[in-house]
Amino acid sequence: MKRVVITGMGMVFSDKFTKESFFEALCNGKTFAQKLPDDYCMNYRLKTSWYVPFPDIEVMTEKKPEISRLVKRANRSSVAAVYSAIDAVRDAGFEKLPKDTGVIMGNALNTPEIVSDALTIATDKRISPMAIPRYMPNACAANISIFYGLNGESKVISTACASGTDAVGTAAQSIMLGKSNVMIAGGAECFSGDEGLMIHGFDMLKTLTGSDDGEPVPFCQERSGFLYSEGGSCCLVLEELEHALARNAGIYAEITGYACNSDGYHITGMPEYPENGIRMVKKLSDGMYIDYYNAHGTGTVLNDSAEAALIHEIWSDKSKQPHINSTKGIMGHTFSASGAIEAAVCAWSIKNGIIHRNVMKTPIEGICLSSENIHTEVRKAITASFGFGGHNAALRLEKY
Amino acid sequence: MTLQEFKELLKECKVETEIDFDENTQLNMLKLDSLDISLVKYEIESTLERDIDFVPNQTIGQLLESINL
Repeated sequence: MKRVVITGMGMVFSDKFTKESFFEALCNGKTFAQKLPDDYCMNYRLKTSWYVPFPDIEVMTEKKPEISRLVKRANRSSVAAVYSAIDAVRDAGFEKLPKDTGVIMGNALNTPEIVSDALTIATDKRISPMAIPRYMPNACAANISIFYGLNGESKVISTACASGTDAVGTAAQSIMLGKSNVMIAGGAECFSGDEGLMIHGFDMLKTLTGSDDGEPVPFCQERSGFLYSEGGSCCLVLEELEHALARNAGIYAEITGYACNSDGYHITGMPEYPENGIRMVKKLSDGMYIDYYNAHGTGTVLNDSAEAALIHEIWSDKSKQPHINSTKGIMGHTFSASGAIEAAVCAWSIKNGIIHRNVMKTPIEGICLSSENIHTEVRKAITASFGFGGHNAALRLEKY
Repeated sequence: MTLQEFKELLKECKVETEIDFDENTQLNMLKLDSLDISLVKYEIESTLERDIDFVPNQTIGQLLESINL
């Protein structure tokens, strides 16, 4: 088996257009939440009052004029995906990517484009010839491959909130098996401009935070649901170790494990005792000391209870647990993009020796959470995602 | 629509042409991508609220005439 390292990362979420501003915001520990405009949701009054907006497309094209051609031709998640891919590739130090570089992205739905066209046809007008290329969930991977003229494998994985983790894991496997030397992997999502369709749907499922301040406070007694994010994108450059060393690339971390399975149980819920999630994380942690666990940690009542049960089952009491945090507690839940950004957070923590703080109120007992940033050596980290449909996925990253 | 307005529309649609052109240039000389043609045609038809034909061997001048009918 070949070894896989992360040599580049790029991301764009909310008003954070660089990885530096993103990680600084995580360490500052102020949630990205903003008040929802009153007219956000067409013909429906939401119970939640908070959201995290999608990054401004105009700002993206100002910063990277080379993506402006995509704006009229591609869906918004693709614009963000290509934006973050450009940063990841630059960060990895590639002037030119190998032609056989592959792309695997996570993506769920492109609702803004679908809703906008549905409203257009309702007025008897015709829709853009770019309609189908904008609806396609595979568009974000395709647009990255097209942007760079790549001929390696290119695909999208859609496993709801586990998509980004599965994308990174599948790309890592491709390198481990010797099928590729370089892969761009990540996740992209955009629900901005869909007339509130997605937030309406989540509101109907009672999954959104009802907090007064927008803080979803995962693993706290006050938690009531997740902070809805309109999305964004994160891309990582994964590289075969020898390939990276040969060109003196900087290495964030090594990906040493990927596991996934399914609950086969419920289309939206996690089992109270998540035996399959436990089996999956155990596969990556058995016999090892794990320094850091980046939790799925959405802030929903049931998800956090089930994940707390997983943590207790695997690591027992607080004194034996790794440091645990929830990135979603600060940046909100970006769905298909969330697993990729959490993998990036683990890699960044390993490289910099910092585990970002949790935003907390009254933490539930027995979970190793800190409201302060922790400065410590991180040798091994695990990030786990649990998606609607019962899709479970996890990655183990280690210091190289 | 004037030649200048047509050029501005192409610019707005981020359509790049390999050559500079005038009213005597044939459309196929611009070597436009098929989706680019569809997009420009869509933008013009949405404004006019009627169909127009993009015939490869017609000149830009003839296209503008059909738009301005």
